[in-house]
Amino acid sequence: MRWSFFLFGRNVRMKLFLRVETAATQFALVCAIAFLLIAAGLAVYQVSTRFIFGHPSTWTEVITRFAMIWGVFMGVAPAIREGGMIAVDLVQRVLPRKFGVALYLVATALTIIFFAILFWQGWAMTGRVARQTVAGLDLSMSWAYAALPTASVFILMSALGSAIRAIQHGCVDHWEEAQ
Amino acid sequence: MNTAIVLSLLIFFVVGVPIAISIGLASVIGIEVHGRLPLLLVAQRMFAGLDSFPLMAIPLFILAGNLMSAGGISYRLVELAKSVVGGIQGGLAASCVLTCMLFASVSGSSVATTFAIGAILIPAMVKQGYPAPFAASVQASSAELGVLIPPSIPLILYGVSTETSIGDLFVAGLGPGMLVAGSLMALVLILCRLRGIGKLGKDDRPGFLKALFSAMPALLVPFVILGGIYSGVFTPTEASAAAVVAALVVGGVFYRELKVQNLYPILRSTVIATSAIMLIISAAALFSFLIARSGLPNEIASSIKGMFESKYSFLLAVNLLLLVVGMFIETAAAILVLAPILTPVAMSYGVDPVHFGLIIVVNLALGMITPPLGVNLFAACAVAKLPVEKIIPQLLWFVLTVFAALMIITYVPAVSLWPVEFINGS
Repeated sequence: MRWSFFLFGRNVRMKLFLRVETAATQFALVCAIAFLLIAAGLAVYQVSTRFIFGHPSTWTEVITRFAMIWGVFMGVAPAIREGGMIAVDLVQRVLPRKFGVALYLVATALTIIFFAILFWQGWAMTGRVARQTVAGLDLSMSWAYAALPTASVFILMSALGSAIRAIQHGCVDHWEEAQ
Repeated sequence: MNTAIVLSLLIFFVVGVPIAISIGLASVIGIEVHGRLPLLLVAQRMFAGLDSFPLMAIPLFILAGNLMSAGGISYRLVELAKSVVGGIQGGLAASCVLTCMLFASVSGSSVATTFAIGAILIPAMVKQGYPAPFAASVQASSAELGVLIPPSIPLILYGVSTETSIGDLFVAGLGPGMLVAGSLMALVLILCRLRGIGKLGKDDRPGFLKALFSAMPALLVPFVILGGIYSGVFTPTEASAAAVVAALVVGGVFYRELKVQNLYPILRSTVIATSAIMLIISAAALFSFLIARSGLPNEIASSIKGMFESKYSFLLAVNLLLLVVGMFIETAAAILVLAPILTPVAMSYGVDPVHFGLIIVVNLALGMITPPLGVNLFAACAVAKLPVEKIIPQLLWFVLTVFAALMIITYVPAVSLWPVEFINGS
């Protein structure tokens, strides 16, 4: 009855996870781009209202900030996947390949711990501010804070996926490209 | 609490945990060791750290820079620089400095400048007989003009974290930027003369008027950005929004090199670069909050005041500290953590905060070309396809030159402050 408990074999599950992770990270990237475009568009709009109507529209500034926060956090998952995070990975690179990968896995495990905490506390914070509304707008602060737990889920998947790929390939994907 | 934070931070850096996450995790450890602070601070402070409208200038300037590089501006700026200084011995290397200076006025990052200009000029220099390590050194060191000449992401970060006017910092950046550019150009020309390199390719010099005409739309962009900020029409954030629109118009309408199918890769790299740097800002906000609560800044301030009697010895000590910090720590993190601690001390010695900001940024920019963590160095080596250790002997002269410029910037405040007084006075 083992297979029905695990549903699939270990390799199949791993493959399935990696496929889901790839799709999720791609989705996070598209969301991040969309949020950034919204923020950029609103910033341009705000500048033009100031010049055309003489006074800047006030609601745009708040929405711009929130869209930027969503965009930044959603962009972290693809950044982790592509090795775009800024890190001092010199030690990982100069060590013999096996130890370097081991160190990369330690670093990734620490990343996972951090975003697990951020998910947990971000979730708590999102609940706590549910009754607060944004100044001047009838919008709950939870909408903004929800960026933290939501993005953390994508980041956790992408970090786990990067770790699995590093184990499978015996090497970190983005090391080769940088050389 | 402080020892726990600093120690864990060092360990995370060495292991290679991304900088933003190292700072965040070290803060979590600090909170746990302290015992009476809620862990909820992690979410609250990281959110608050990004919840600021001036920061929106950072993704917008990154986007504008990426749009400009894809829109055919780099090539035309290179041609313009070649038409000005291309005719003399070492002219192409000097054009590299000049191009970086022009490109810096649309880009706020030095790594972006290295890739945009280096991809064109490093192969061109090698083709004309410049040794590859020399070409890479010229590129790596000129690209730091990207963070001195406005717009500049590090100056935005300094302004946000110390509540100094970003507009004033941008104006002040012009003086040090031109000083560093001038010194580098002089160094390049002298080295070429002494070593007999760079004699080839003088006839490859385009006509000035033709090059200027072709580069004109590209030059309008810095004119709009800087003119708008200096005349007080734009705030820096508004200028960054205008820069995106201008970049779209120049690349899409004037040069027609910016195509719809280019937009996705541009947006994608913009998002990744933005998230990487802004997550550091977010985590640093949490970190600074804890450090400030622990009373460490006051302790440091009072012990510094006991150690240095005059402003001059204080500034020297700050420069040495930052040099070491800049070698090992990424610029944004260094500014966000150190500037709020050091700037009040500097002000109590009578140093103008705008001047102090420029000292910090020029100094940390020097850290971008020094190993072991020199982002420009890595970028230039990646473009030149050279291992880092090959270019270090050549690089030494460039490091010394920028250091000399840094000393002038430190001890002659007028270099940074005169442009501000000039703009504000008129």
